[in-house]
Amino acid sequence: MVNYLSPPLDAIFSALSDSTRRAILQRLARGEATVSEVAEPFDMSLPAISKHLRILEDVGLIVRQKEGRLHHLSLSAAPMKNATEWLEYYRQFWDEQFDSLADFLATDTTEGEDDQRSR
Amino acid sequence: MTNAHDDYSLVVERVFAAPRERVFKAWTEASALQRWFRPLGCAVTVTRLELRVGGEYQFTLHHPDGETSTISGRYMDIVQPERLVFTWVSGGTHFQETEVTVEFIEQGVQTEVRLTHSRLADDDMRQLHQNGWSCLEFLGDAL
Repeated sequence: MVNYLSPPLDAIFSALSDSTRRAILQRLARGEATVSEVAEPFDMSLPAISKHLRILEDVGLIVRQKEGRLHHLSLSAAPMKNATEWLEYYRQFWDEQFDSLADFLATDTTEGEDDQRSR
Repeated sequence: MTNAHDDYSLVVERVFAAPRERVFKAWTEASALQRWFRPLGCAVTVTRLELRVGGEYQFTLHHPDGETSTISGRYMDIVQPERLVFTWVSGGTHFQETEVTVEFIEQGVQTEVRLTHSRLADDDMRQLHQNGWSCLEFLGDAL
């Protein structure tokens, strides 16, 4: 089920709006990696990378497993399932409005000259 | 549902047992809209309805918990009783502008309504598609 104001979805899109974070996800799509492996291709400080990782973690796109001092990162795809529900959400939305419109048109025959035709 | 990733639009069609003029009015008169339009089951107050090209509309939704939210937009094309095009901005679209085209097609005494909701992708989603959609397909496989 998708909520009308779906904060998780907003957060996911926001998380995905950054090219560094998308590159991180692409890296993890190839397989699990440690924080330093993920950080390696970027010309960026470790704290800066950590900040990006935290954002991805917060929306559930990546999962961190600690093994001593090593932090292994892996991809979690579940949140993207929500994102693809966007279109399905509006399809259902309009379908419900059509149901309601059909009811309205069936019951309301009181206004408009065109109604002559349906009487 | 769209089958191309670069076309975030959907089409919903239905035939209504009412003449076209009447169906068109149901979409364009505040008193009628307030009686049938029930986004998310919410009662609606039409707080603005300027039915002219460039005119604005605003619906206030009354949620069961007492909260209110709005759907608003601008009329882009009005061809009575054939066609209505308006922009659509709401919480559901992340407050970004999407577009709705409603076509009213006469079928004898009935009317087919074909609604196309397009531009259903915010900038984030477009950028995502342009730069990293393949990544998302990986994500799907990773489940």
